[in-house]
Amino acid sequence: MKNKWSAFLDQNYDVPEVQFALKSVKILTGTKKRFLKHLSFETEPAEYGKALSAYKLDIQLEEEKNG
Amino acid sequence: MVDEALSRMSLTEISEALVKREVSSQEVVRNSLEELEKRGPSLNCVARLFPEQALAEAESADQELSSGISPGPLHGVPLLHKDMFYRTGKISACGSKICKDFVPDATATALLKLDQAGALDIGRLKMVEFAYGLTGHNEITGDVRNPWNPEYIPGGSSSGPAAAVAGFLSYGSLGSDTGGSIRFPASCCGLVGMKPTYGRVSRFGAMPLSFSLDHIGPLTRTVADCALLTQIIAGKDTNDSTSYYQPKPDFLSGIESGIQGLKIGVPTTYGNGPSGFLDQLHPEVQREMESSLAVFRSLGAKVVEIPLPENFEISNNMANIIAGAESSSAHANWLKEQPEDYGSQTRERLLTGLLFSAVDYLDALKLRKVILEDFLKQVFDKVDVLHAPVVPIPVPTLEESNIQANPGFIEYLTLLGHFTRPFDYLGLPALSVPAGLTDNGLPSGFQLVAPPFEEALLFRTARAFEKENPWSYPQVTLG
Repeated sequence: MKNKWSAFLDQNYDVPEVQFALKSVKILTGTKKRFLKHLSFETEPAEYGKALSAYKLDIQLEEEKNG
Repeated sequence: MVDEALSRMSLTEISEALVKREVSSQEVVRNSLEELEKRGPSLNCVARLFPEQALAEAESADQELSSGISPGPLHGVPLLHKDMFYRTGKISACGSKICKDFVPDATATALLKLDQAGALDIGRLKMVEFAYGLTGHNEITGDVRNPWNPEYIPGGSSSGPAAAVAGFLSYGSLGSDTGGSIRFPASCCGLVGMKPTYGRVSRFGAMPLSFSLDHIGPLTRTVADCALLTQIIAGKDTNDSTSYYQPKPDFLSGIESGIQGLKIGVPTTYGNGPSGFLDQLHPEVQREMESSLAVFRSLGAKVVEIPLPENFEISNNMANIIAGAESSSAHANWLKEQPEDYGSQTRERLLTGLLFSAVDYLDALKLRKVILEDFLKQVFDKVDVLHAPVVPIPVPTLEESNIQANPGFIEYLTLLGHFTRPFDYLGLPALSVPAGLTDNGLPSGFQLVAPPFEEALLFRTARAFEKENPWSYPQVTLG
């Protein structure tokens, strides 16, 4: 099956929307480098969900602990 | 003959009038359909209507009320929603050419919950193509107009819902928010818009754009209306694995209890660095933000400046990576087979997503937990809610913000989501509230952000502001 998207990219490498996309990717990915050192080897994406859903529970537990 | 007084009632008011039988559902639905026929075309906000079904359901609603059934909170109220909420057998075109004939075989959980509350689903509203864009432009279905002034953008991607609710064509509407698509148009059109906590409202049966960032929520004319709709659609859903079981307080019961002593944070710098979250704010928008903070102070709230975590500065970029990668994955087949069927702006955004590596995407997802934890600790250990702008500049015209006609606007385009997208990334609840008008006569809103699942606090805070600073729609064209 012919991949029309690849053909589109090849034919339009010099059009503004393709150039803008390439520039955007460079900017977006460049900013994360200095914060990656804060990620431990074991970090998984799913830990975000736990942090979000447990926040209220954690606060309640802390309040109970502090009387 | 259109009854404008009926159209201008809030969702809460029309619901009460229906239950008290001061007006029948058939009268309300007929009036809505006439309004939509009369004024819908000038705003270009209607995708399609279900008139016969709406009138039949209204007749049933009236009969049920006559027979003494216990009505739901929205019994007999007609509503229209963004054209991305699926209902079995009804087209959901998602603002696109590609899905113009798409007929889903399931109904969105949020719509089912509104059905159970007695609401009548009478049509769909236009939107940005596949919900990917904040200005409201749509090359496929045409640009939706802002009811305050049709030369200006309504904001997107929930452009139709914002225009219809602000233009008194719907009593409220469901939208979606992946990078600001509820709050941004709410701000542009002078509405209240809630992006709930990630997982608070099921996304089942709503068109996916970016599953890690998509949120469903309402746009309304009043805070109480917004609380009511959020109350109805919130809750765990086994059809959406990302929805959380969390206790759901009554968002309306404490809404009038005021904000004496509440600590409201105003963001300053990132860490100890020189740059700040509000650096690129337009002076006219800043003026409205300061006015709103003065109102909060007068209500007994304590307004304090607060630095944001250093790593929060990259949250906008990380959200863009996730949205780009996930949306490009969802659209991969169509991108390969029919790229010419997309509008050029949508295609450009989807193209960007195809260029991220798997490592970039996973880094952005992994950093989310780190940034969230820092944000919760450094912000919400010190303040109860955070106050921030929604749209960084006065609402632009359709012409000046059309990057095809005005390529220079692309510089602003990347800035537009600066205040909204980070809170999609962190999943925190955020409520957009009308603040005032900029010099062009268009609305400007602020948003209040709270810790996870604290929507009730946001509604209470916003309601206190609304009572002190009542909002009206004097410039909305009804002719």
